[in-house]
Amino acid sequence: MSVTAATAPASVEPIFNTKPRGLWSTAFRRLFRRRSAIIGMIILAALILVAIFAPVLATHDPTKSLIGIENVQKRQGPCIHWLGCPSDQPQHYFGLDGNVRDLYSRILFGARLSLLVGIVSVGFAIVIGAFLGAISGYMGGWTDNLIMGLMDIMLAFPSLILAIAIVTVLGPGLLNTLLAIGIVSIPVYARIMRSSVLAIKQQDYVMADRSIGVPSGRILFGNILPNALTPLIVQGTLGIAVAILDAAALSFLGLGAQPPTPEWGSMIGQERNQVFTAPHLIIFPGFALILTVLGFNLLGDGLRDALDVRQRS
Amino acid sequence: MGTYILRRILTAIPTLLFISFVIFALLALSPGDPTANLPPSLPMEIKLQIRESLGMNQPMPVRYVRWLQQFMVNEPLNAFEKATGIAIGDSEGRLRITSWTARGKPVIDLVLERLPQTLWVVGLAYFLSIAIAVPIGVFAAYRQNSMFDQASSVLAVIGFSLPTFFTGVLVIQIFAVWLGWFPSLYNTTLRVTDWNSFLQQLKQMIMPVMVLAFFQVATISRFARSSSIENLRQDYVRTARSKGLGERMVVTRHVVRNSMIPVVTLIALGIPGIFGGAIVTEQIFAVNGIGQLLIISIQSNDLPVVQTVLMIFAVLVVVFNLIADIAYGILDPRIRYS
Repeated sequence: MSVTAATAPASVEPIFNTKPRGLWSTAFRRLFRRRSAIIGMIILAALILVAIFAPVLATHDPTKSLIGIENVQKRQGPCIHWLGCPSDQPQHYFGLDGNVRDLYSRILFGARLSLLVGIVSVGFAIVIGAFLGAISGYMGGWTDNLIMGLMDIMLAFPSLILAIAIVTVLGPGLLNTLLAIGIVSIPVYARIMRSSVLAIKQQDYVMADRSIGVPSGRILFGNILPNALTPLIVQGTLGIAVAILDAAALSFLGLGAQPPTPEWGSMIGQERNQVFTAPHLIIFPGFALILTVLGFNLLGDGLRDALDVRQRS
Repeated sequence: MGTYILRRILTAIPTLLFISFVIFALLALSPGDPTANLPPSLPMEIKLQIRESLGMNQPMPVRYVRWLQQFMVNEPLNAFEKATGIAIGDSEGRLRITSWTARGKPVIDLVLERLPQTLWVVGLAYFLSIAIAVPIGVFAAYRQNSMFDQASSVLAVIGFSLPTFFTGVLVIQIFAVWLGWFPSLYNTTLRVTDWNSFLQQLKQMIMPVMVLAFFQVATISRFARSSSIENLRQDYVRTARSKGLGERMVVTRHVVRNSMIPVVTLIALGIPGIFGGAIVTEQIFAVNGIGQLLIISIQSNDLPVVQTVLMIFAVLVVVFNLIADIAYGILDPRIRYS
């Protein structure tokens, strides 16, 4: 920063020689300085590419059995030609599953499902949770008590158990899993939003708006919400990791995605007794899942440090 | 403090009542039916009679109130009679929540049969993870940014990211199949009667406990670390050091004590979560706990069991929330409740 400009009152040169940087560009600079965040972003970028180009990258139809089409056996291990697998045998990078389907193609398509479930359910939860939290924090009084009382009751359940209860009512399936996990995650975001709003409400610029008669709705959505976004972004990123894990756990238990959907959790669940004879059926979907969750966790951790949000529970 | 505890307990009652209503109403909407598992050749009149005998023809609010009475009044009375031998009122004719599938067995009996297994596994896992995580967290905070700190951070992030159903399957493969150290199947008929059977029980619990504890260690150690870092910066630490107190004393007596206040809260609040994790773990290791009971009942549409097990989970959560709040007040004298 330079102060030389101040000595020349005749000129109207700016005091700052460097271009002022906004909150977001500062945050991005800090984010790119963290090794863990960079690793997280690389993993997620790769996964998103895989999810988008799954039909191009896949070698087979993920839900189609290869019985009678190729000379292969069920649960056959990986066969890659340039790693020494005889070239007269059909090539399967990750081997075949119990229904003689190409595991590699299934895992690629599984990336679509897991990312979809994670992002959509958390997005749903953030939209509803932030709305409820904002209203609760801004209005106060009995509205606040009512909404937060409801949220406390929802928080009174371990997320997986509440999700199980919701899926029991709605019936198993991927869409219901998505909904269940979305509903279960609402209270976390409502609480975060409420505490942000309560803090921002006291700021002078809100007071200024109010004193010149700006309507409540515009103060809340135009002024308070944008300033309360950072903790939501951090929690949301970490929340996607939890949502993906919970969805996979539900599918593992047979309550989530139903066969033949190529979902990683259900792939592990279906073949878990085959771990002795065909470990590739557990290892590959397991690693795919871990990598995805790790990516979101690393990015979320990095974001928390970069945006300087103190952890709220 | 006394009035605060009393008020907290009193506010827990409407919360529990509301939760119980939500659980009951939600599950009453689900398509389960007590006659669904009976042979289709059975005449319709008999099916209707069965439904009537179970009170299924009554409106939902009536069924809710009766279920609640059975859960909150009848079963505790039964337990009291069993424990003390004092009979209160008509103990034979008292209605009980019965399972739809397990030949009309009372749900509470099913739960009580299975509860010890769950409590053993969950309890041991939790104690173990606290015993491991707290020293790791404190040491990592004390040597902030050291190799140890960074290694424990990396392990914690990996710990968060590992699905228990994947690590569980891997652990079975490694320790039971390749190394042969532990039995791969949980022996559910094992009764602990002597030293030998106790060792056997311990041996078969190691794998599920290990898997459950790993995730918890990651969570608790992170929390213990950040809490300790905050306390290490406080003035009282400098005062203690300038008095000439040894480092060991400063850390164990001053820092750890104060850092544990929020950690204790986290530990109390984390207990319900570990029950959720136990559902998956029990399924992998075939432990006959209440988590397994819940999944079996969902799959066979046994609604009374599902309702009761979920309600038990809810009670556990509310009780541990209460304990966390009260523990916080006792441990931290700075907090004053009015």
